[in-house]
Amino acid sequence: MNRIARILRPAFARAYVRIFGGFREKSWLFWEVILPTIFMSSIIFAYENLDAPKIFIGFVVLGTIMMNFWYNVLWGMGSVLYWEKETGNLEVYILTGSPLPSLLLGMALGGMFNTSIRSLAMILIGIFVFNAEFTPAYLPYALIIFFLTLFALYSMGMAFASLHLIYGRKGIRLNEVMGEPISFLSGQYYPINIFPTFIQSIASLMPITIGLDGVRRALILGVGFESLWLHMTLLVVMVFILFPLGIYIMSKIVEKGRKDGRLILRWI
Amino acid sequence: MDIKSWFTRIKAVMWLTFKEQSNWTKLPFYIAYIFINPIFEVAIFSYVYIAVAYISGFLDPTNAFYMITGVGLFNFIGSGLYGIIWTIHSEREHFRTLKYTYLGFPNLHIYLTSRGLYHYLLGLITSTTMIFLGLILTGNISMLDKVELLPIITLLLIGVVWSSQLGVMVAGSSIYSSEYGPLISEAFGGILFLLGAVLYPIEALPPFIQPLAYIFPTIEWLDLMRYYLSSQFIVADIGLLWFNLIVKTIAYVGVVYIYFRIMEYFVRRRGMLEVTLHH
Repeated sequence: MNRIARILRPAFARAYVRIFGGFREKSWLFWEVILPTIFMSSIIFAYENLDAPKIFIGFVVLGTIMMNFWYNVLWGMGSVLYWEKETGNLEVYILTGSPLPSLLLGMALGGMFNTSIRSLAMILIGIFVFNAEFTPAYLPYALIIFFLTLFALYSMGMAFASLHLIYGRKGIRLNEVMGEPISFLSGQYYPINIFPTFIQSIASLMPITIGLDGVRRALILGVGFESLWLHMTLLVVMVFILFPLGIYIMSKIVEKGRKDGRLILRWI
Repeated sequence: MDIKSWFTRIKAVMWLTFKEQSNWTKLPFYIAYIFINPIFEVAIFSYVYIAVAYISGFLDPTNAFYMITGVGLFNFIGSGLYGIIWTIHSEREHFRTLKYTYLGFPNLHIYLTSRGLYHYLLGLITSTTMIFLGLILTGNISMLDKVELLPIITLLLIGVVWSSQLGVMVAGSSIYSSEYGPLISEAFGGILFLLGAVLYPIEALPPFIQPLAYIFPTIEWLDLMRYYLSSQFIVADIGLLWFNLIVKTIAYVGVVYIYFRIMEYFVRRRGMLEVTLHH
């Protein structure tokens, strides 16, 4: 088996399990769409109560969707190796000889697919229930930015996942405090240009902020390549940094974990 | 009834909750951990208000006060509520200790309520911080011009009673289903946030949803709290709000007591106390 096949075959196998696992119980699918929608509705009603311009509805819908992917990175990818360790699957994975990054690639692909299906349903709810308005003219640019953002985010997820191997329960707590701060900084419900400059600078270091801003500009404000090229460039740079960094951190931590005998140590 | 023994038990459960929540790190890190999410949460809603003010150029301090106090006070209720509901999930799925709790503690209903008390204490501290911080961020700290402590403390205690019983009710449903337990708790928190007059008055909701909002005591509780925090927050009939709140609280205590006993009975009969997701 050549090197690429050795990476891709376990990845597709893991993605298969994740996708079919996600659809195994149909009612979960319903709830996974409805739960974020309930919270999204609260924000939309709050904006309507404040007499906010209509574009804010689209901001909230897109912000909620992008944050769904972030939560998937945190909980569906980052903490998975921790739970695999707790349930005793991790040692089996490592012993198969498949590279661990390909396992994570599979989780990322499966997670992206599952979250995309749920996000599509939320967009439809946003359009048909809350009358969110989007401009389809620049959809291709929005999609390019969207997929670049996902690539960068899931590369970060790979690094998070390896941290969970070392830090155990601390990693779970870290996940818990990565929700609200990222939601705040990424501008989940508002454009980030309302922030003071130094907060904007910090926020711009995160792919989700750049991606969300780019997708909003393309789909809500209806701007084209001349206003989006910088977003695309920044995201490409982030991918080139985060992906190898994720692989590097993972390999180092697995190596360290094996040396210290912590890879299968539970309840740490 | 041996009151002293019950106090000892409740204190022990609160201590257990503290250890379970904090023993993954050192105390200073734990303190930072408990403040991070509430601080950023109130920052998010402050900027929701600021964003509209920035774009429309129109400031409405009453709306800012309404949102910030709503989010801050909901954090108090939510902390206890989630603390109670997640006890079932974490003890059954993660620690696998629910069976020992059931055997070792004389009353599961009181055990769950006691587990929530620690979270209410934390919630009190973080909610106070949230309200101050949010009002400072939105430039409306002057709205806190009243702060009548006695009614506020009374309301906090009443809030603990009704919300903890709501938590026990949801936990009762959660015992019955390991598959849907976490979903039930998330859904319940979301619905309470949507319908509870947290970010907006219920008149902002579509008319067909509005009657549902009156099921929960959240509206009366939050409006009374706001009334005792600011002289600029006007309510139509203060007596009626108190009356409704007390009646709903008593009703919840009674209904939840019966509901939980029924759920506990069925769970034991069907042997579902330790049915985890692996089943």
